[in-house]
Amino acid sequence: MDKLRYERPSIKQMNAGLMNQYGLKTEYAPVLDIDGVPVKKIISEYGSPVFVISERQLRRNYQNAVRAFKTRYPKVQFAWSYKTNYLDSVCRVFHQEGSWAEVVSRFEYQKALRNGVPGKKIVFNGPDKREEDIITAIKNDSLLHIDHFDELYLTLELAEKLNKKPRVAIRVNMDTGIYPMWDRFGFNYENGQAWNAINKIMASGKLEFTGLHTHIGTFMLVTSAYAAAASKLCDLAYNFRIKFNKNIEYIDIGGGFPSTNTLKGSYLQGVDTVPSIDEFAEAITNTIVNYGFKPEDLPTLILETGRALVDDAAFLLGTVLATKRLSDGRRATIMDFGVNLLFTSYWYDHEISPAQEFTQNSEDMVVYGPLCMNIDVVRENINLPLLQKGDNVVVHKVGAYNMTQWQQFITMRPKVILIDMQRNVHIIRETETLDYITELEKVPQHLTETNL
Amino acid sequence: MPKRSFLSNIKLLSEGVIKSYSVIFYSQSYLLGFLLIAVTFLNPVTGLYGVVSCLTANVFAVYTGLNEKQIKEGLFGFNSVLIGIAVAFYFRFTAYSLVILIFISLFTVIISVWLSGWLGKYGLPYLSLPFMIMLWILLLASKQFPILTMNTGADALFFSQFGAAVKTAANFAGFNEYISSTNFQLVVSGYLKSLSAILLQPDNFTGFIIAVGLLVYSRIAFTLSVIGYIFALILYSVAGVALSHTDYYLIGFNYILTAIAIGGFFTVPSLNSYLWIFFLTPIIALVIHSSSLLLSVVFLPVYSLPFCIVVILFLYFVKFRYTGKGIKLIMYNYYSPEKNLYKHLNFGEQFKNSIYYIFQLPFWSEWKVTQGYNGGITHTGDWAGALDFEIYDEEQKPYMNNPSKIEEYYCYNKPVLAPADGFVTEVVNHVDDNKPGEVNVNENWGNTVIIYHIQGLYSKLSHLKKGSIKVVKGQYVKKGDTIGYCGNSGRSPFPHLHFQVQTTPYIGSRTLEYPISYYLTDNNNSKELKIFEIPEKSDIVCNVLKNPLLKNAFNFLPGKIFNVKITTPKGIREEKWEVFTDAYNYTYIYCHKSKAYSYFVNNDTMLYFTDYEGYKKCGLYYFYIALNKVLLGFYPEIKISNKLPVNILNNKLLFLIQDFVAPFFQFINPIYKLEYKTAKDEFAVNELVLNTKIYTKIFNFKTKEKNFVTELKNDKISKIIFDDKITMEFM
Repeated sequence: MDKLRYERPSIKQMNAGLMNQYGLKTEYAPVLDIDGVPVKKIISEYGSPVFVISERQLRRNYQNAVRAFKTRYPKVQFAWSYKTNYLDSVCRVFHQEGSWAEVVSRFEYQKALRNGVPGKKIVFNGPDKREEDIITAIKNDSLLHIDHFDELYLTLELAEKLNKKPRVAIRVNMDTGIYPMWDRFGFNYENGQAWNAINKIMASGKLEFTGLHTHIGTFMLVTSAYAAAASKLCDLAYNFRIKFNKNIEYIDIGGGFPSTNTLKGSYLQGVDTVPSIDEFAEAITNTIVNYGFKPEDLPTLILETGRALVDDAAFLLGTVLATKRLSDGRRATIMDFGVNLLFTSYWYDHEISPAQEFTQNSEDMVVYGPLCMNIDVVRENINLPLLQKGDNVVVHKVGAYNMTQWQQFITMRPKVILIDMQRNVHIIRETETLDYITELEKVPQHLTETNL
Repeated sequence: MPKRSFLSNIKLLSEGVIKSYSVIFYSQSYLLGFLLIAVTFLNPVTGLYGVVSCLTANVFAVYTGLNEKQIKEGLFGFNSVLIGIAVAFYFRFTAYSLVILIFISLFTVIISVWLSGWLGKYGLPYLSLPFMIMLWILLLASKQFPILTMNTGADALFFSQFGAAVKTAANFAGFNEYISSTNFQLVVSGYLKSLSAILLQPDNFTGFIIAVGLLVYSRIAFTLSVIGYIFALILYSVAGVALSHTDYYLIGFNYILTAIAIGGFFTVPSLNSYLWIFFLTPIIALVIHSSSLLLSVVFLPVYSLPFCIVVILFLYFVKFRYTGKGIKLIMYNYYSPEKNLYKHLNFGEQFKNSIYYIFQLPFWSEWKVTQGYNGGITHTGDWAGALDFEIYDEEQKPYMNNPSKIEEYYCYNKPVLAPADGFVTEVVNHVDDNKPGEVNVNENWGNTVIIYHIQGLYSKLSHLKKGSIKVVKGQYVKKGDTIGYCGNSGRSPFPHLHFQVQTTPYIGSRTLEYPISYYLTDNNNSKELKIFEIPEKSDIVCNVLKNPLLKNAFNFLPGKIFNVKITTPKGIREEKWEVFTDAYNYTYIYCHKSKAYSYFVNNDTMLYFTDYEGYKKCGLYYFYIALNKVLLGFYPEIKISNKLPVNILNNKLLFLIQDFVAPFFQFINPIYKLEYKTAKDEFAVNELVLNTKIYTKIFNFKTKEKNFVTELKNDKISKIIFDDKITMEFM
């Protein structure tokens, strides 16, 4: 028998709030393994902290999402949103499943090409497309989603210069009843800008107008907004057909589906409030199918879902560095990961589970990161068992945006590992080294010597 | 009706006259027609009477406005030819008999029309019945007309001076003596005489000419004529009668004609049809000898009566079977057993399905068949021909996490589509959805939609979600329209979709086994195209998604004109093709230059050519081969293959050998394979390339491949390149 844990006694105020028939809510249950691979083993082999990605969950998420749409709509294509997580291995899992790529910069575009995505299966979004980016996209026959008139004029110029007819779509923004309205991207629907852009494109005769794109927001919690967006795009597509006697090839409804993370300030848990991907599919496809297109004239539906496909497939494993009492008596736990790795802790109340058995005692506490910065708070208030130095924790649903927005700040970024379908573990990104970080640095001659 | 020019009438007449001769041997061959005319002139009187009678009949047919196609095929003339020959046989060559011949020839045409109307509605031929009827009328009446002098010794006229001279010349090499010298040769002689007795002049030389003509016209017909005769010979030798006896020549041809008719002309030549000849031989014998006895009372000959009776009776029997097992009838007769056979084998692939109404699967995406026909669970007895569908995930479960909530089932609340166009005749929309595991046996079928498609063909979709049905009784739905959503009502323990085809409009009607026209199966990650098949249990199935470019490029509407520029190593030529619809609403492309035509079917999912007739250097021929069968959906992973009819390739000696054994097995197989090359444009809207490979399989040996590359651009076929040598550009 293991030696019993010693926990320093503390006096706790009785709190009977939020009771239900099951008693106090216990958020924590130990998570001892991920996809059958023990957490302790991962940490001992790959160090702490470490990001863990489940290939099984990635594929399952993708397949579920595809199924949700394909069983409701005949022509569906997913395009993996690179900015959500552009680790090569993650992208390639989605590409293997049949997903195209959705990129918003030259860097991402090149990454997609490197991952074996043919140019014509890359959707190029975003307000930042330089002249050379557009040239590359035109030459590769990518789907160019035009964001503003300046870009439209540039594209027209380049199309003429290259003597090619690029395939373009326009990004449309609109009022879907959502605040904030993302009107900084694309052409507005309500004030006629979008229709104006379409007419300019058709009048030029130099561009192949193939699709309509929108992206109404992020972490959307109502499905009706998508129905509204789809309906407005259908209006455009229908009017386009009437005026130009051509079908729109696709409607790209963008991304924005939420994962089941809990947003900060949210009263209820994410799992209880977030609509499922099926509900979004229902709202979107019903709108398009019932709009009145002939079954064979229905446009392809492109989805740029990112977060909902990847968030719950990744975990961050970490270790307690120390515990302490704050001046007001609250317990504080210092982890070896902070906002530098867990960028999303600015937005979410991340679920954290202990990775070993614990006693019945728990306490509200603050979870801090290791940075020597006051902002480095992972959870401002969480009820957890009394973790001790050296204990391990698992942070859930960290797949989206963390591995792209993480910072090399104060510490270096850790390994990322992937557990494949056969539960084999692969390192997909190595720990950063001093050399890696300093590789690009150049020290002027007069600073080479320091005599201390 | 527009008035025809004199010249075109002459053309029509001459075609009709020549084919009136060849059609006696079921052929449309000019060569055989000329040969037959020539042999009748071995006896100039016979020849003259035949031609006069034939001409009379055809002129009469043209000027009374009978069916032009039938005139061209000689169908109104051949009985008159026979009656002409018979008049020459029975009566003296006088002006009277010649005048009378003109009248009876006209009457023969009238009898032909009457019989074609009477038997035609059963789809039966009238054969030489008009001739027989006319001959009897004439022979019975002639006794009252002394003016018609009977040929007392018919033989005398038979071997007139002229004919004898020719035959002597032919016998110069001792043909007649040679042919009668051994037993085997006697048999040969018997065959030749029987063959020539069809023209009422039993004679070795005539028979030999006819036999050669028959062989050139059709290997199968020739084989059949020999087989028919041999079967008869066997029968008679068993019965102890020598068939070589002169009396039997005039009845021996009944066996030959029946053999060709049943073995390969009205039916598809096959082992089956050959066996039937064997079984029919004794029956012919019975009919011959019983009818000849009966008719002898009134001094009338039987001639081809037994053949007519047996063939018509047999065809009637074959036609009115409930299922088409065993012997098969020809659907469209090309007047060549070979062509009939090869085309049938080809049509078998293509046409067997043309009788079916086009049904697609009633959903989008991939569903799994969880209970097929005769599924054993509920698809039994009268309701065996139904299909149940559910959606399964990659882990082979039909629900996401919690099997006790119907919302967790993937198929629940998914759109259900109309499988084909039709009127909604029944809607039940009020039955509650069951909890998983429970069934409602009171309202067995749950929420249901029944759609009326055509007379006697309904489809039923059951166990839909309560209140989800979007259509109302009487509404017309198009294929692919959403009619409701999948649910769990009625006798349904877990959400699933029940689909069945039935002949009556009721809920609870018995099922009808009926194929789904086109669908893809995706078993073990390899997609396969199924054509008019019934999905089987645990198949993962989905509909073929049509591609707009393919759909538009292959939308050959009547009136569409193709202007084709053909560049060959020898030079450049232009052809103009046009799409037409014939009287039976079949569509075909016609080349104005070479007069070649090619029939095709476009059923919205597939375009396929069913037939090509004409010059094999015409651009249309390449077109027919290159695009023989095209799926109008873009699936680069699927290869379309097809067997082309043997006769579509250029004739060679090998094909002659193939002809003889064709009814039994085909060792030459022209194979067609089509592949879709990845389109330039991901939505395959603007450009697409089709690669066609044609090769011939001789036994297991493959000949060199011929390659066709077809380029589609801007909703049109733009170019076809054949082996990098011949380029066809479509303007």
